[in-house]
Amino acid sequence: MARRGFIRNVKPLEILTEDQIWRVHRATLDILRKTGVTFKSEWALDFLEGEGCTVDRSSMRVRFPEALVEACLRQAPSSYRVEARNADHDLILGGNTLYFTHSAGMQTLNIDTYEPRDPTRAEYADCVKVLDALPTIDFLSCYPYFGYEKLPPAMAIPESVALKMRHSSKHQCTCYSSESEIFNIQMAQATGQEITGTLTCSPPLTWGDDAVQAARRMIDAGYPLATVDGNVLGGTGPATPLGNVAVANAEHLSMIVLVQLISPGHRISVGHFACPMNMRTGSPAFGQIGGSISNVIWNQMWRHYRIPCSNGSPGYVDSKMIDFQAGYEKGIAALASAASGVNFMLLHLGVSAEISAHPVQAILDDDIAGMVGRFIEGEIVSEETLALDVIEDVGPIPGHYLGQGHTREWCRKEQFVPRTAEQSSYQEWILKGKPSALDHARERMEEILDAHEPEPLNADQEEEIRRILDDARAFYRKRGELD
Amino acid sequence: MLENNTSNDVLEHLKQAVLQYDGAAAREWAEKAVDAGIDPLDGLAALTEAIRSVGEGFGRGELWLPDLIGASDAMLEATPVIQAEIDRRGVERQKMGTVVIGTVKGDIHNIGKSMVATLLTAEGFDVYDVGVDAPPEAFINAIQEHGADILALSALMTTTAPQQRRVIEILEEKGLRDAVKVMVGGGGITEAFAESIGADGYDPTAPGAVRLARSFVSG
Repeated sequence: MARRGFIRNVKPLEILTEDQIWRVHRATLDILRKTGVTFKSEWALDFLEGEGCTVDRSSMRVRFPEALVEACLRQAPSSYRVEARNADHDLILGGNTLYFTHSAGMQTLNIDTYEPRDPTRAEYADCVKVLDALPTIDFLSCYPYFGYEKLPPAMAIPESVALKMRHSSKHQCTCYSSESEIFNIQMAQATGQEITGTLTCSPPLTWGDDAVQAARRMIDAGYPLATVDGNVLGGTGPATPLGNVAVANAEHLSMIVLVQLISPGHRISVGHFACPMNMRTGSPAFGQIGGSISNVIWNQMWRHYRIPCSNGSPGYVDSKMIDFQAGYEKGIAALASAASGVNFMLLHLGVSAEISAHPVQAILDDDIAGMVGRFIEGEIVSEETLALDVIEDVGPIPGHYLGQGHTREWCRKEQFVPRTAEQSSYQEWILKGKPSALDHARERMEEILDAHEPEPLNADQEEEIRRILDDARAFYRKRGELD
Repeated sequence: MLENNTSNDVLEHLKQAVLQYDGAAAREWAEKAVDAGIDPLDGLAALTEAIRSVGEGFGRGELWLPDLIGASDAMLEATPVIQAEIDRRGVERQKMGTVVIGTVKGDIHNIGKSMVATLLTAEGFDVYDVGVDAPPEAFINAIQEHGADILALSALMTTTAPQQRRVIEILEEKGLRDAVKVMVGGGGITEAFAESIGADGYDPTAPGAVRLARSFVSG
């Protein structure tokens, strides 16, 4: 078994012609050949030089022969399975499948005042529990919040990975800081699941030593990788979406070359996390449509390359509140990404840029995901869906379709009914005290927290997690990163 | 020595070069000003006037960050020429203060930090940039070496933001905490976070960071 996600059954939204795809690809190869990519890793420089790349030691810049890039691109799998703790939550990435996961905030927030604050450990666990329960969350991303009250920074990632494992049996992505990938891998092995190792590029065109190290450790463990860029148009990438995609392509392809040379056929996906720069503040303008334009071009390019691809920006918004702006920023971005054939996207949870996140927002986003997913599933064309027999039976007025078996059968298949949208009649709405979608989402969160029981770790697994976390504490104490 | 009119003309060209983001022209007019024997402090004043004008346009929302950076870069082309003449003449230049700036360990994001460094330099601060992925010791050493008044810490990623706390802790351990004002910034930073780690100030924007630095040195 594996999670179904949504299956795109509509023609993908495309911006580029075949010729334009070729031009972007040529631009990408030119960047890799001429401009090159910096690897702040002596090991990577030695390795890539040995494989035929040109290395400038003083700038740590690597320039890639075109044939090598093309060969490595062909080696990366076009689709692959990723194992979760519960096999029902396995993923099959690639093709026409669309999965959703969540974004993150540094902190949680008070959803009455919209002021951010550190979550408690219990709130962190509750957030994971909600994400485990939501049907459109196919897997967990790196973390919902950066940490929780009184959690030492050095332990933020290992404790986060452990909490996600304890409160969800879904697959999870993991990040790295101060070699935390060592403990992430050990915890995955101890609980009989795979984790995806997210590798974060530092745009433009730079990979840090920690990313290379994390990649090597994940490859040794046999776990899949997911590269992520983070190009801010006009800041860390060109202001033009096409130039931005070309630079981002080069960033990802440089890591794909490294990974495929180390481990031919290794599972890897590529994540575009792009948005324009707010030219008044220098911050990423997460909610602007420019991010979606870049995403649509990106998705078309990587469908062409036949490598599973993802988009990060739909999960982040400029709005500071759970409001109209947040709804249109997320909704439009999610639809553009899904329609253009992305394989997974971050959507749920993030409230205000990368500052804050909240499970009530995730519950509202569950409905956006449901609507978008329903949209791209499109229609099956058949005798039954064309419904000529029933059209003939009903005829003109006074005929109607409400009593038809065809209606009973198909209305449930065809309709996606959002759980939190306020859909009462006006009169009912008045009688119910004029509730909003936000009110319904708050109620749903309480229901989930009361009723949902994530599949627990067994006693041996729990014991192993505790031991690994103890080892992590000792490791960071020895390095002077923990008191 | 040039006549006043000619002198004003050269200084106006210098100013216009900055306003038109033309670094080559700014350097050229700075050299002409020096060759013409114009007081280098007047040259510096012309540059400051230009950058302030751009800053005001930015404040009104008429100009955007690329304009601000373009003008700052042009100004930085001209500044060394003027500074060399100031040094040669032994004139006392009013210095705003000394700043050590960098992006914390584990984070190699450069743009925001460099933007702040550029604007602080344009404002008249002596700025020592320890670069990106800088370990706490790099900040401590630079503070001690340059006698810094201000430490500016950048972190873009939420995963590296806690390294700002680590640098402040080490400042305390070394008995240096009271010697410098600490300002923090970056995409993942909030005022509440800045307060929680014991920073003296936070601003979400580069021009705001300059205002903050000014407030630190003006007492």
